[in-house]
Amino acid sequence: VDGRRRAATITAGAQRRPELRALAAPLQLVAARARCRPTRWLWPVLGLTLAVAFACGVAAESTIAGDRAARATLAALDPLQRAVTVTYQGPAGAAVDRRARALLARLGLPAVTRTVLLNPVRLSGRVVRLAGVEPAGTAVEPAGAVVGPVVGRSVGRCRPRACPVLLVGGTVGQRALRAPGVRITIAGDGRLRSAAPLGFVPTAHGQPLLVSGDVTGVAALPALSSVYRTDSWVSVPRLTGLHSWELAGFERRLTRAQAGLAPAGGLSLSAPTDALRSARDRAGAAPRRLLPAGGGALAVLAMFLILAAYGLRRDQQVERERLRAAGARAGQLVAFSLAEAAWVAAVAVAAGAALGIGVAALLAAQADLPAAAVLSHSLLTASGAAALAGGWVIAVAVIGAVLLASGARLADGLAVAAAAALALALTVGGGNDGTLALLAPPLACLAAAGLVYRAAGVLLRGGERWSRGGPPVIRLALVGLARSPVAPALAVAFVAVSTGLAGFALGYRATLQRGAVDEATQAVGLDARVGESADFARPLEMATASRWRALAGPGSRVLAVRRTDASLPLNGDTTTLPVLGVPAVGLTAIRGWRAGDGSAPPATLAQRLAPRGPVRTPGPTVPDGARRLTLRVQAPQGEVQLSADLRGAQGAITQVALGSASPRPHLARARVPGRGGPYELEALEIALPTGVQALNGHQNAENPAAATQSTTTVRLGAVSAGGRSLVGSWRGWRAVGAAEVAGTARAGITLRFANSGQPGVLRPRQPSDARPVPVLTDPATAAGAGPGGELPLTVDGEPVTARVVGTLRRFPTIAAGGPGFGPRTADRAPGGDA
Amino acid sequence: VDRDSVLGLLTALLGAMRDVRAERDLIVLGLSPRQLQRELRARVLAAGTLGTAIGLLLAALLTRLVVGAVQAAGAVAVPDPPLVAIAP
Repeated sequence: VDGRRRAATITAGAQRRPELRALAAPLQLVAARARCRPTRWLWPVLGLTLAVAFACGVAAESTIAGDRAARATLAALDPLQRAVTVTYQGPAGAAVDRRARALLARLGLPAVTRTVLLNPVRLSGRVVRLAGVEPAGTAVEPAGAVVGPVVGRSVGRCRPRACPVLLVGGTVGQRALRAPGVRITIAGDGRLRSAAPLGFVPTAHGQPLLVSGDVTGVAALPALSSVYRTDSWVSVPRLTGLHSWELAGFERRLTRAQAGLAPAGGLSLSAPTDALRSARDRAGAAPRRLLPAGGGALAVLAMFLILAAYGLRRDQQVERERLRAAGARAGQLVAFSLAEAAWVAAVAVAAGAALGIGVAALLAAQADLPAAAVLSHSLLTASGAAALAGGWVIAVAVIGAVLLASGARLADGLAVAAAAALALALTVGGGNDGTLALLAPPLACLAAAGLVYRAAGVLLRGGERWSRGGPPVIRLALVGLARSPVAPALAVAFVAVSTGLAGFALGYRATLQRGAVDEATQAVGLDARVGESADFARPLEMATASRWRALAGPGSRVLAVRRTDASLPLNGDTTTLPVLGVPAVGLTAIRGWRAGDGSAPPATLAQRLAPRGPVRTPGPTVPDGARRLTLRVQAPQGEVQLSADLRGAQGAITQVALGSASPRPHLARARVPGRGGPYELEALEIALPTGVQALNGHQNAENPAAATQSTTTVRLGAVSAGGRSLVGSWRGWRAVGAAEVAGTARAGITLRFANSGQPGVLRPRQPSDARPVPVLTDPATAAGAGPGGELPLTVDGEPVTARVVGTLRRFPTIAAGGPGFGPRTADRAPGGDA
Repeated sequence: VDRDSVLGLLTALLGAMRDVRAERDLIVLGLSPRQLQRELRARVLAAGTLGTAIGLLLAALLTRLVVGAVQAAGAVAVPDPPLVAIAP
């Protein structure tokens, strides 16, 4: 049996050997041709090498772009958003402290700031919050929290008999606060550099926050042991040091640490996992930006490869004819062509990969990234190797098809495939992640290439007929092109696709740049925008207008813009609109206008907005050197709060409290600020006392019945400052908001004040009381305007009649998609603190 | 893309555009080398002009895809103001 088997095997081997020899012959011929004249494949190899190197470069650049996008996202985070915080509810002992620190240390996080934050507590009649932050010095970056004249060690340890603290928010008005068993001394002022340690930055006008540098001392104050507190250990990692490919690992470690904390242990961990996820998403999306350019370039290079391979088709045909004459079978002819295509593609792919790795290293070096890391996360990966292998197979197929298939059929197949993909992209491109929309341009080009290739022959023949009466050289050239149109048609298709994609690339770049500029101007309008600070200080409170102009530099425009809201009854409902007061002359300085953005050019709109007369009636001027403002007041039916709005020389409004008006008539006093004058009395404001307001608010919110309505009479006498009467007669004054004039006497005025929760304002009559204020608004709001284009607005509680003098489709700093907007002259803004 | 265009243009027009058999026929017909050069230049010019004209038309059509491509690329999440296609 064994002998028979062996004989059968030998017979089968003998039959296969001639087949193998027959297949080996074309391979030997390929090798001989390569040795004899390797340069014949120079152009296809060059084209494919460039295509592979370009693809490698795009892959590396994708990784770099993703890393940049992730780091930009992380760089925009403030310390609070980056903070990794371990929290313990309740009094924490040394064991808890060790556990929390060990947890953060295991995560490889930098310096830890420990904090304890007590709930509000009443000390010496003042409600304050007490906190401990350790270390509190400026040297701890960035979670070291307190910046001030006195820090950490110099403040001293917190003991029950003397606990020195810094006041980092609010005002206290005394240097020591006491309660039975504790004495807290305010050693100085400070401010929190970041919100990370305590989770917030206190405002200057908010609840006082007292910070000690001794966490243990604060936590151990026996008199405050019953006050609820939160212990935290905060570390603020520099997330920008993380590369996009490290984010997932870091996030995983944080999540594991969160999951590893037993709920019963009392510790909890909060980490910026959302921010990390967002950064990873940005990193994942960034490479898609390269798809249009990368896909386009690869399409052009593919066309180049086809063109170059076609140039060798004639040489191949001659060789195949020779082989056929020598008795070669069809399989041997195909094997010959494919083998030659395979080695050409292999050489080109290898050369392209080597070149691509070099390009990737250069790109990484330019981006200040470690080349090895970029390569190991882009090209030197399993998917990179698979992509190269796939590229080799596709290249062999394309070159083989060019060498063996009919040119027309190939072009038809290419065009049909590209057109089908393009149709799919245009149909579902918006519904998926947009990848198909990105590939639409290259696909459109490939489809167009097929069409151009098929049409070029016809066009060249038409050209030949058209040139029959022309110069002989032109006729000869066109006859030559028309007689053998395949190669010229390929060249024409290649040039057309290259030109089309170049045009698309330029348009893509120009559109992207214009979009970025438009977005920037939409967000800012000019070069920079200064807004309220973290503690709500307005720009004109931080510096004078002339100081802002000096900071902007010579020749720069500084526009004081008033921003507020207005309500407008529209279509049976009340709509809240953002309102901007922009100096009319500054309208033309605002950048980013498009032709269709306004109903008229900016200069025309600015003319329409320009005031037709005085825009403001000034109030009486407070004499220089006056220290106090006095006002005789009486509120027979109940107490109300009074304040005076003083307009400084730079236009900033300072509100000073005059105290309360009660049933007993008395002289209310307010201190005139020492700096920023001379002042004018812009208005007097009446409001309910804070406690009454809160009570009314609760009652009205919790009571299903209609809100309570009541009015209080307020009598105001003469206003004086520095021994001089400021207001001789109240006749030229108007009450708006929750106040209305009930009557005027020789030197006094009686107001009816509605307890609506809104303030009442008494101010000189303004031009806007008599004539409408010109505004620009969006077309929808303008369509709802009354006769004469008038809009009955309520701005900051005051009725203002506006007249629409033009429409805008958009305006810088107003978000798209919201309700309308109405930029108008700043000086007319109610309250006038523009 | 621009560099590829230049490279491809040179290769395509100077390489693939040459027809050795046609050149041989023209020599037989008595064309001088200078006339042959002019004939080749005319070929390149004709094919290049045709390709460029079609390419410009294609670029104009592709401009309609620019806004979609920029938005799909995620360069701007929700552009405000909306993007407008800019022709180069």
